[in-house]
Amino acid sequence: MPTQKYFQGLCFMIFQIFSVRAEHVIRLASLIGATLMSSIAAAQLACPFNVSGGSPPRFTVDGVLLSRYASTMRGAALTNGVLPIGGDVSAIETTIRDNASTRLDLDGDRLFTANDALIAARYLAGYDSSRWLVGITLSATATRRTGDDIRAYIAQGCPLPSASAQADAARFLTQATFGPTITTIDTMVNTAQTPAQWMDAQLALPLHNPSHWKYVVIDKGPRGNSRFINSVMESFWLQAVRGSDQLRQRTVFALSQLFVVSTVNGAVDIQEDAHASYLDMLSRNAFGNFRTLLEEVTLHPTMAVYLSWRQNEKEVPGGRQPDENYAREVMQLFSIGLWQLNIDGTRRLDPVTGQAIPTYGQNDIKGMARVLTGWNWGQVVGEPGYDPDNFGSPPIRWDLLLQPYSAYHSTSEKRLLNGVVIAPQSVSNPRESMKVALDTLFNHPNVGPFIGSQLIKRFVMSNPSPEYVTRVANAFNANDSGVRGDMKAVLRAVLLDPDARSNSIAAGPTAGKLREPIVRYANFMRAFDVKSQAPIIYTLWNLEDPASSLGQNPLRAPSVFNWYRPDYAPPGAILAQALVAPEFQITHETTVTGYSNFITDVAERQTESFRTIMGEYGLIDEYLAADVSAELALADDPDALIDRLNLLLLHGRITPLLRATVKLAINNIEITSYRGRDKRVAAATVLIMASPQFVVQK
Amino acid sequence: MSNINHHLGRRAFLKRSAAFSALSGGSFLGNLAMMNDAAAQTASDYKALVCVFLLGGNDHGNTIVPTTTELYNAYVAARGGVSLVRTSLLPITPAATAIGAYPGPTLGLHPSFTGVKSLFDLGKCAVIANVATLVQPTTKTQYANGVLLPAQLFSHSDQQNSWQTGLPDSPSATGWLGRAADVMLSQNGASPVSMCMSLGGNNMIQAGANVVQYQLTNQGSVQIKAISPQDGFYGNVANAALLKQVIEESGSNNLFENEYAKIVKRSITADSAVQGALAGVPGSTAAFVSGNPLAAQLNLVARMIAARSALGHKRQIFYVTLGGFDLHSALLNDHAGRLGFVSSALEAFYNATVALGVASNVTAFTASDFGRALLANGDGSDHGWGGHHFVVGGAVNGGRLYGRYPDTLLLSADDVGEGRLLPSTSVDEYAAVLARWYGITDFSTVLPHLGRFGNYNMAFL
Repeated sequence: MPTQKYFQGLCFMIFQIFSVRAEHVIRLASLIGATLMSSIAAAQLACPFNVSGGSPPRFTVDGVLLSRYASTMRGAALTNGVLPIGGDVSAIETTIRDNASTRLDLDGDRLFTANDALIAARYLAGYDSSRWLVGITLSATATRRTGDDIRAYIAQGCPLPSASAQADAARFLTQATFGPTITTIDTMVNTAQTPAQWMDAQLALPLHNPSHWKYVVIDKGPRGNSRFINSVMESFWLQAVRGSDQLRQRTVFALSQLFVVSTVNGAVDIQEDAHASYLDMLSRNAFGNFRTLLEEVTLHPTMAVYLSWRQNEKEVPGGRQPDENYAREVMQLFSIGLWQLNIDGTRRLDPVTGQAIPTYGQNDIKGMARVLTGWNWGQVVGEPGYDPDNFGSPPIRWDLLLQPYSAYHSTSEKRLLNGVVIAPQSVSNPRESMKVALDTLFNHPNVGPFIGSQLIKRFVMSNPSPEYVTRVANAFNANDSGVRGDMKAVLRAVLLDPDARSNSIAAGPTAGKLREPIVRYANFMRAFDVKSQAPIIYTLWNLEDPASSLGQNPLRAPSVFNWYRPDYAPPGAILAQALVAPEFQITHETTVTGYSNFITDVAERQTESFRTIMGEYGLIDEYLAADVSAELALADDPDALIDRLNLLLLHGRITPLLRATVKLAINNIEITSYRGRDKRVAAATVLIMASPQFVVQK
Repeated sequence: MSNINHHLGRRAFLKRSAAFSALSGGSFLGNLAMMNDAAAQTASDYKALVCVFLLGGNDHGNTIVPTTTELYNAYVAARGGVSLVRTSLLPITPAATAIGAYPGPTLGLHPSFTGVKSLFDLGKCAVIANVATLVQPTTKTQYANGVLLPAQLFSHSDQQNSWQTGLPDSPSATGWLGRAADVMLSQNGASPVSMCMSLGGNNMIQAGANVVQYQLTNQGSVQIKAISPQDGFYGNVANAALLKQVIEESGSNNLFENEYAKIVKRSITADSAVQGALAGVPGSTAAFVSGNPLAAQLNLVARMIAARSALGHKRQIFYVTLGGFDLHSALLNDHAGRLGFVSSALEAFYNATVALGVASNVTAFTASDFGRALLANGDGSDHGWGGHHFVVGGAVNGGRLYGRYPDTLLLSADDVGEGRLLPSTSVDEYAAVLARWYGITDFSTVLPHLGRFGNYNMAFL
């Protein structure tokens, strides 16, 4: 019997290894027992394939043992026919188990499965790496996905991932995405991907599918059924948390805080189509040129309605004047700011008076307001109701940029900043006025430092050095080809800068930034793979109650000035040092409490046992579910659990004090108590996420 | 507005209902009156200032309208489609002040301002005309010639900041109410709750050199549940203590971590004091109409005033806000709604202070980014400068208009363009009257520029 079982196992393996081709079986005969192993290099021997203890590792022995182990055979069943009866089976099991999810995890998904065993066997059988993956369906979380990647891994001796490489990857992903996951960290480490390479790959990704417009407007059907302003919040979170185009997602979020439209106190408070279209516009321009971005922000109907410039008419001499709302904010907030800047972001001072110099005055705003006349909803030639002269009530189209209606455009002189003057137009030319105005703003020397420093504050740190701002502003002013306003170059400059990547700067006393509450929760959802129970609905609608929630909700900044100003400094030690900390503007006694309570709630309610309880009350549909199975598996190993959470949430930089405290807390919960495993994982997560260490991203 | 609230989870709804029922019950005013007996002996040396900040820049042009035929017609000419119908305005007749009879035109309040009108007629509300930020007394000629002006006039963020710091031409780390609180700090002894309390988020006006402002919600303070020594953290009492330690001690060299931990620690300490103090104070009342966000804040302010003895407060400064005033469009409709909130909330609040027996100890006043331009832009108005403000309370020498009512004709000496009013009263002068009433006698730190103005004495308090 034992012999028979051995041959059954071997034949099964042979068929698997060689993709069930008869000629392979025949060829195998010549391979078995041959001296192939002599060619294995010393480094490769370091890989723990030699589970039998004999040397060198052999396909017929170690390959079989690995495959049987992967198919859950243990004890005598593991070794029958492969090793002499009476051998030390438990030692073999221990060897495999100890290496299973680490060095024997050839495809890099943190698990030792039949796939890894099969690849190992094919390797031991001497097959070329191009054939190792034939017929294998890799798991979604596998991070070595080609034969070459796996061969390189074996050639290096199946090294354990270095903790510092993992931490560096996690830190970069914390800055550049809505939060690292084990898979995104492992992919960077296991494929030795640099941040620059990661960015190249991300910058090349296509737009998210479905778009916000498709999710919110097309797929949800007519307004009022399942389509509400809530729908666009669902869509925001779906893309932000689950999109693989993470750099674009995080960039769009940053841009949405620069070019703010909001459902609070405005005329676009319930128009989900307006916001879906606006987010899509930011998405398609996130990696484009700033000049186009500025133009599409300006002409987007959602902005034009929010800041009340749609359908503005030319002035009546001595009477009605064009609305100045957008004219002011496009300069103050969206392009150049209030004060003339040096390239390093500091204010230029008048050499005579020593005073800061305003970028524009009231007359410049009047000129800009005249530019912003005679535009209304976009129309499509040939569609019902098409009438290019109908300025009064063209059909509402949130999906089209505004278009000019030249009879309503101011033809008088328009004085813009820096001495630019649009001469009186004998023939009304709104497009030309717009072009000159936006070109003037775009070419102003303030834009690089003004926009660049704000992007640094969204991604990396609140108080960048003047040198860092200079490097980003230079990238804005000219990319490698000398093009101004290339957002790809700007984003690379922001995220790849030595100051952004330096771990020693991150350890300094004024390093980092407060994580936005929305980002903190997104970090949680990505770290623990939070998904909706229902197939489509991602029920995250209102997170802004400061007493029980985040105090910050996507699409709901209080005004065009965002939740916080880029130069906000809380009174006290930060202001005294002339530093800024924008996110502290919404950080106070109430919101810190709300956040602590919120994270305590979600960490618990997203555990399996809690959902089971809620399910009994019929409330399950309201809950998003985390997958904490990997963490639960570590619940009886506090150090390992902390290691994992430390990597995911603190990019490996937990302090010894916090580690000791979390460990104490884990051990305070009896693992055998009611829901003990769940509570251990949830408590450890809360202790880390509520800690000042997590709240400040460094 | 949106359907967010319709979709709040059932759990959240249940939680809120429970909180609500715990807070409500009984006749608020009746209970307040009973509580007042206990507090009566301290009322004489108690004072509170309440800053009602109208975010976005109030359209003063439609808040108070001149009703003489000439000025009303000029108003209609400037405002076009956003002008109010003359017969709809609520007439007010300002009485004489210390400097003589009111010399200006007849005036009408916005039709939504019924509550403010009755307070005015009652003599409990004063109007301070054409107030805004100034570096020094400024004429139109000086304005045109480029005299030193507040930094970034007409910008929301900058003018809010200037109003609140009282220092429009220089950066400041403190605001004038915060500096006043610094001076009065000893009045509150060792109270664990700050003299400066905000329901409108972090602000500059309450930032002091020593006083640290404290944020409340409309329901009072909020507790970090998982540090409760009774209920424990997921039921574990030892872990509740560990969590408390983790969140209030950063153990770090990082400035931001330390600041965050400090806020958490303050929150925990103040919460237990506020919970205890408010426990004996009734909750909401029908006098504060529901659905009015300003009334909801002032309701809590009234409760905190009622709880002053338990809090150990002899001086209190509150900051409440109402947003939505930046009406470049849809002004007629939206402004009516905003002013309706202000009027109803101020009246309810005044009545609450009467019931508490502290009407003469509490003064509420309005402030805003700026006044708006008189000239309309179509269906709204643009950013301006000077604007009219309101002071309400039992101590107010009301039914009067202070300062100088401006010449509202376009191109007048008070108009720096498009009906943007050149202020005739500076924030310093307005603030000085409030601060003096609060107990400030030396203005050198509270309002360092006051000496530049030396305007006539506005005895509205």
